[in-house]
Amino acid sequence: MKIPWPLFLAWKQLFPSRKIVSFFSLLAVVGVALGVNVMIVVVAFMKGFQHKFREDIIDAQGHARAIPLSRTKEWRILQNELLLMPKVSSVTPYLQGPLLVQKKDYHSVPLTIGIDLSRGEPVLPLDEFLENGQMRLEAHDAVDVTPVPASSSLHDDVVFVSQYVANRLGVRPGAILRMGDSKGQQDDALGVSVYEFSVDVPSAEWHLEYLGKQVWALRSPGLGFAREIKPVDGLLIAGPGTPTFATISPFLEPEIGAKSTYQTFRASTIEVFSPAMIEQAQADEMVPPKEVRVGGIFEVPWQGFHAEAMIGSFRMFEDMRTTTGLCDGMFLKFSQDISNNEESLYAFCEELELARSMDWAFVPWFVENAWFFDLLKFEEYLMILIMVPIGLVAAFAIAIALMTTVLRKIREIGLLVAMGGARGAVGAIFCIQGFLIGLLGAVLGCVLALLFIRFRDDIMSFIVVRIAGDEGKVGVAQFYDFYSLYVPYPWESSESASTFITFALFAVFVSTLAGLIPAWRAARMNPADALRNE
Amino acid sequence: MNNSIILQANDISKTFRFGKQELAVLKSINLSLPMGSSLSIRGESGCGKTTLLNILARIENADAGTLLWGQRSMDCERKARPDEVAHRANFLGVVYQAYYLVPELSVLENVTLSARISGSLDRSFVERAHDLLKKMGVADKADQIPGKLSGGERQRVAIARALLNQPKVLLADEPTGNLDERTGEDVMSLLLNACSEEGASLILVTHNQAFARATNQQSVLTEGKLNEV
Repeated sequence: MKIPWPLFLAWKQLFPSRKIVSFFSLLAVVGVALGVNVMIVVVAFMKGFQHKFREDIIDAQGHARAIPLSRTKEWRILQNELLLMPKVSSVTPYLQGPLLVQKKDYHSVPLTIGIDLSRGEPVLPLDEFLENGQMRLEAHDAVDVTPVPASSSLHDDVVFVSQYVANRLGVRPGAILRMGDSKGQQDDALGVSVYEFSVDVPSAEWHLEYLGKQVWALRSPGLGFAREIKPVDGLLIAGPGTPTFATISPFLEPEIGAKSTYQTFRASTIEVFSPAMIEQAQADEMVPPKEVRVGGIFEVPWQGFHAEAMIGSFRMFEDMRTTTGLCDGMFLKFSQDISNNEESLYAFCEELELARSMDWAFVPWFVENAWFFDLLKFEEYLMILIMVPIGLVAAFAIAIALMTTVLRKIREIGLLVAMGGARGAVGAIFCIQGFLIGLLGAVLGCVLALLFIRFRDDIMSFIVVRIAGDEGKVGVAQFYDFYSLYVPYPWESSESASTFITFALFAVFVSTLAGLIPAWRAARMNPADALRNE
Repeated sequence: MNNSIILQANDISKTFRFGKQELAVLKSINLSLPMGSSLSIRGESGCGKTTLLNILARIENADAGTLLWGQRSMDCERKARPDEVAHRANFLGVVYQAYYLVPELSVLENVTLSARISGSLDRSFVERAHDLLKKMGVADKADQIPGKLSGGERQRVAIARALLNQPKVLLADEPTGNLDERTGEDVMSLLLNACSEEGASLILVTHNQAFARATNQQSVLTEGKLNEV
């Protein structure tokens, strides 16, 4: 195949014979590549943050909220109707409002949400929140083996509190530690785990011993408790007020007489007052507070969620309010075909709203948090606004470099015209050079961006550790949740692909444009003057 | 018109203007170059020798005059048309004092550049380029870049490049001007032999009387007039 001579010369000026690359080409291509890399990475990460916030918001409040426009007792009918719809995957009714909680002299007024978990899967991934918030005890001679609290333990006398409330009141859920031997050595001879640790387990020391033939003994000398137990479905259940253990495998039998010692700490108790109770107390009426146990500490990844928050059962909240049959709203989750697309989600919410004679408002998550996403979008546009001039500056640099080449090669340009080269073709050499620099820079920039995305955690750790030490790394992980950021590769998401393609094309376009001025200058050069040039 | 005349210039005039000042460098120049012959042009520096070559090559316009490339007649006052530019690539070869080799291309790529530009580059041109390089004594430098060659070697490569398209006329503008005496003699000898072998007519601009004497016709450009010696 014959290569057009302007393309051949343009290529050769960038990659001369007997040389891998010219210094100018290397600088220009690397410059474009770095620009493309930065633009792609910044936008990809902004989108990654948007995606993460979107996921976190949906976790914290579902795909939409149904809010009654008037106090209605008909919410159970609506709940039933919604649950029958194939496009609705789960519905969680809630009550919410401030309650005063107290532990000795410490107070807090958290936003309290009472949720009804009696009908199917909850909209909020409460178990995940509890896992996020679990704080393990640390001891040199013991191991905290407390299982992660489960949403199923949310009884009417149990609440889950946010870390902020827990710290403010100095409370924590119950804990169980497996003690080491006299030398502090951990020897899990029994091979069992703690399956369940309910809020009513008292503080005490427990001994679990294998007696042989699948018979176990659980004793607590301090409580005067002793019971022989046999596993049922692999669980060692000794009754209320005791921890439940799980054997690792029915086929692994410990040595007879093998024993483990556990120390339990009972869950903290807190007192809860409703606004009505406070009013009554102010009127000198004796109002006993409701005593509840702290069943777990939760952490919601969405930063917009109230830091001072408490989650209780729906019925507990009803009791506190002394009203029944009312509901402040429902968290809703929809099937993927509705929830994946914001337009269809909005349309479906409208449809639900119209079908209910506007008694209920159905507010999609992105409408409720529009302010936040507008802010993120604004930030993204601002970044692009900043980066585009940077790209143009790079284009000017390329234009200047190519112009210098034109001036350096004036006599060669004259020669090419003298040899029969058309002026347009001579100009095209420089235009093509700009195009090639842009193309190679864009490809290299995309590769760099892919590498950056692939090794983002390592790169981030490397930088953060050197700037702020290991604590800084933890801070980044906690505050931005950087390390769990979803930044898709172009083959995984069309949005990511369009980001890569857009910036690659932008670089090629700007770079080609940068080559136009030198090309124009070269094309209108008089060959005789060019050859005379000193 | 005499059929054996390969290049003819009639009443070529050229004046350079610098503001209000005018400098007439060529005054009604007439020139005829028979096929296969050679003509030398001498003259003081700045007398218009290179300008005359540029006009003959249609790289530069004259203020008046006509030009004949073989059978093709051209008005020198206007810019060369694209078809004339295309024709030039096969009709004329030019050798410059400063070689003007493209530094990013290898010697072989430099020699084949004109064929590449005219779109006629094929295996036969590459073979011819190798032959010419061999004739010029620089066959072993084919893969080198010009920066690695001596001045004499560069000029040999430039001559090979000018001869690649088998031009009817070779214009040589002080081809030995940048070379020492001995190298200059070698290069000139190669140039004259190559023109003779290739059947190309030669117009040689030189300051060197000995080289000028080696051509069939000698002339001197003085005060804008070309006088036969």
